[in-house]
Amino acid sequence: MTDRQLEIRKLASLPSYMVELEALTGRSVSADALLSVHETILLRDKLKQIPKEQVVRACIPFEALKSRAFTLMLDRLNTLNASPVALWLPKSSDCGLLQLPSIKEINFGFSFDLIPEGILVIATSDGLNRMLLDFSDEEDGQRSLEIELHGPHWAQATPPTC
Amino acid sequence: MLLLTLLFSLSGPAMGKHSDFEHSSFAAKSEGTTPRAARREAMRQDGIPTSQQPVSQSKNASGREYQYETPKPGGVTQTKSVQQQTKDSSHPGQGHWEAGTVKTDPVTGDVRMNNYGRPKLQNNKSEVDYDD
Repeated sequence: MTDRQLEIRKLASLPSYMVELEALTGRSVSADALLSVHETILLRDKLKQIPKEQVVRACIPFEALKSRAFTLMLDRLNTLNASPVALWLPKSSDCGLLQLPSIKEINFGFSFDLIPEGILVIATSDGLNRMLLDFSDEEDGQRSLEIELHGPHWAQATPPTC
Repeated sequence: MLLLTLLFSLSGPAMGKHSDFEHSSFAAKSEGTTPRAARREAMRQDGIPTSQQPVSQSKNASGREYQYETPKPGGVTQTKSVQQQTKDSSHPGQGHWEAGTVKTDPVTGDVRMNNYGRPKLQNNKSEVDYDD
């Protein structure tokens, strides 16, 4: 892909991406705070090296993101690896990642419709761990959330169950 | 009296049939009442040209699935999927077609799959019901 094509994709995605980031962090975010696309690719390459078998999965209702059990899991993740984290949304590959000092700084009370793609990843900046949240409308009319914890540290945590 | 009762009993069903016929005529004219019309409408709502040929197709217990490659801003393509849902418990007795961009892991690019072994669609998918 040419630089021109990359720039077009970034310009198309940036306004809605900033809205998503501000809702997920609860504060205003400047485009200058985003990592470069090159830094984003470097982190992606590290994350892709996490062995496929180092994963735990759970499926819970989307509303359980606001539960005490989920908060306890976040505390456990922060204990297992307290590195800064990067918010990885579907538009991040085009626009650049936002790095935060801790997973505890993310607002997990976001609305279901905030991210129309229905998926996001939080990755440790050392590239060793990541948490994937995949939320969908189910056939029974409920909203579900699949949690995947990948990596040598975060896969030791126990995600909440229904 | 017997004659009047006979006439009344005959007129009732006749009126009902007339109503049903009117309803059927109206439904046949509207989009989304036949499976084919519903599929095409779902494709239109999601920006997939109905004239485009699928790059793959499959069939399982919940219905048919077609995949398309469509352009995205910046000159790249994305995979869209059009899926028939006949086992949706939130729409008992009514099938529907869904069309949307295939949901992928933003880091690895791996396609997310549902319990039926089909690609999951992004949440901003389109849905069109049809009459079974």
